[in-house]
Amino acid sequence: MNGEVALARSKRRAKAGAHGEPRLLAFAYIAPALLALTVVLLVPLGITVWLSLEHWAGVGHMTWAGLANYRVLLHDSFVNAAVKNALRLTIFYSVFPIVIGFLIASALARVNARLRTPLRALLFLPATIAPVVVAVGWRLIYTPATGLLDQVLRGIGLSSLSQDWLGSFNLALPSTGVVATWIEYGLVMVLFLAGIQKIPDELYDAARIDGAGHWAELWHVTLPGLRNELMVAIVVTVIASFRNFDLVYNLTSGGPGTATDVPVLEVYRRAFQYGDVGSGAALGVTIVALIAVITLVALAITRRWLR
Amino acid sequence: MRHRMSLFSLTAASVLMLVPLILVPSVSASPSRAQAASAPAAQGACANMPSKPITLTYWDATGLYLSDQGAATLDKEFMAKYPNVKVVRVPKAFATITSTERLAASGPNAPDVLVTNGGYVLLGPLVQAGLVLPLNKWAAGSGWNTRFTPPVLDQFRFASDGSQWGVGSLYALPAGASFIGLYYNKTLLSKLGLQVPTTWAQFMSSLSKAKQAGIVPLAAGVQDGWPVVHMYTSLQDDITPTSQINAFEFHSAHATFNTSQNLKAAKLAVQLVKDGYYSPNFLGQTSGAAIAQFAAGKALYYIQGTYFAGPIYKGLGNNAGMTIVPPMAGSPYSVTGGPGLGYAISSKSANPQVAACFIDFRTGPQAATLYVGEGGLPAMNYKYTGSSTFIKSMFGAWARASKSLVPYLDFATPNLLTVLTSEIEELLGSKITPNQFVQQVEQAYTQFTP
Repeated sequence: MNGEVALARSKRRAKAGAHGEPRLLAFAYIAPALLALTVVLLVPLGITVWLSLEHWAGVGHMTWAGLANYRVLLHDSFVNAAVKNALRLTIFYSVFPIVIGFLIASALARVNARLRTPLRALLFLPATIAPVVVAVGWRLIYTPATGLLDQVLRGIGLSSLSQDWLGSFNLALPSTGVVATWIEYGLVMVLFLAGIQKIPDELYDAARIDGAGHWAELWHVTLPGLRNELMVAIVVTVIASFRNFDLVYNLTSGGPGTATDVPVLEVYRRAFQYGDVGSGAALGVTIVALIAVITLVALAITRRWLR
Repeated sequence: MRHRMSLFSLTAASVLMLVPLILVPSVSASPSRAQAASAPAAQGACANMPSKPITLTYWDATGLYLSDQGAATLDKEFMAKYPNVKVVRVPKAFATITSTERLAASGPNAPDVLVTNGGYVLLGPLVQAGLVLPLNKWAAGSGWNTRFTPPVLDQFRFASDGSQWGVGSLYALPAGASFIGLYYNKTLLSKLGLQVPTTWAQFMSSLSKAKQAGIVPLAAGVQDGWPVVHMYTSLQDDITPTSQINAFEFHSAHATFNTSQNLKAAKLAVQLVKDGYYSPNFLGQTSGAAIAQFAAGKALYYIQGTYFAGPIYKGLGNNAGMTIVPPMAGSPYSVTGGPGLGYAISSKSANPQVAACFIDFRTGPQAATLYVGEGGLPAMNYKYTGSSTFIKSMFGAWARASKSLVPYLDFATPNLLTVLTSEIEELLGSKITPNQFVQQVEQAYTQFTP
């Protein structure tokens, strides 16, 4: 299309009463970012989609696979277990951190400002540690009998509660989930803390005059006021949950059995260990689609609920 | 103003942030076929070395087999012998090698010498794509057929189309080796009035004796995954005929996992767990914890690979010993193990002759002596003359093992390590029955066609 014509048209539109800058100029502003995005995100995504339609060992010839790589995933017991686990882990990655982050943020908002900053920094600390370090540390904590957790339990006379935390088929996933919550809540807390400071004091005053108690204030003023932050928190944590690799890889390698297997671990195995780049890419594309759907559904629900 | 738009774009951007994670390198190199292996009369690898200046680049695994200093020493010795050759070592973590070497070998700057393990993960695709040269023409002239036992060399053989492992041309030579054996604690054995077991019956009675005395009979820790595989293979090796295991590994005709012997081994594995012979909570502790337990003298035995000999020797010194897992009366026996990583010649190398000479040197007696000095087990036939009774016992066990060696079971298909790890954990955790175990492994096995 001829640029000048478009420019003229957009000028006309601007004159005709559309507000803001001319549209074409807006594209010029975002062009550098768009270019970078195209090179580092859109092109690789396109390549991944293409690879997902081929049979390829990572070396040698490719042969066209069509949707065969996707069909394989449907019947793979590891992939099925991994997706189920990812959905379960969402509770630990998303729900718990949001609840805990919200409670801590609302409590911190009431603490005097001089104390708030160091407390906030302290509580945010887990989110700043590299996941590999976190995983190695927690693996030591969870070690049966000699690990910190079992030692503490023994120390306070609760040795009957000591468990094979990462080795039990029922406990491995929750044990991993606890670590995930521990990592994620800090980010949510900081997000909410910033949001709370934006809520006008008048709203609280009005609520108090209407006779609202502590919890009623939280529910009717603070929570609706954090609507945008809540949506960001949901998006970020759900994504973290589904792209989780480093934590599980280093904590349990997906075991015992498939008890803590996660989708990206399967992507890695297929693409880089099994020499089956096609189905690895197919699973990667599926995860992206799945995250998009889950995030959009979660956002729609939240948006309606907090209208 | 509400930030609806920015929120939406944040969603989109966040979703896209995932992409680099699943980004797969996009290189499809057209493989150049292996240069024809014309075979003149027996010719040593180091005969007719060119005298022009040559740079030889090789990939090497760090932290496995030789130390970095050891490798540097050998490189220097080689360069002193052939002053026109400059050796450049490219050290890599093993995980990086398995995930990137196929691409590096097919690229324009492929190293002259590649490092690979046997099986269908790395060597198979390299052979199939014509990226490595057969070594046959140098084997006889360089004495490689007597330097290693046949089962050791077989693990680096492949049919030229990459379809069948264990047969065909030789594509790599190993420096180090490993096998799964039985570590024992001499102090605890004598405390219980026992000898080193040489039969299965003696072994079983020693387990029950240790348990009665309140000593953990068999240290175990498999939370890191793969170590669990040997809680099955060490028993399978005593029950399933060697030929059957090899057929499974090398994909011979009619190879199957669904056999009465494999089922029997699975039942026995579950029985040993039920008898309480392993460390309690072995599913939840790592192999590191199990090694620590055994090295601290808190368990009678530990069944694992020679790659763990270092920390055990450090902890128990010559109070530790090693033997093969005792065979059952009247049963065939094999030992799981084999050469570790091997060196192969890139078909893109401009100096294959020099590369062959280098590989000959790196897998020969001079390198082996240095490696033994570092506490390692060389792949070649080697006579240990040192004073350590522990290392001597390990060499004694290797002399027996290397004659009836079967490859690591997971080498049979690319995804078998994951499948076996998961299935054996479920078997030992009584999540599945021995029957289900055998059938599920068989199902995974048949899904792969080399």
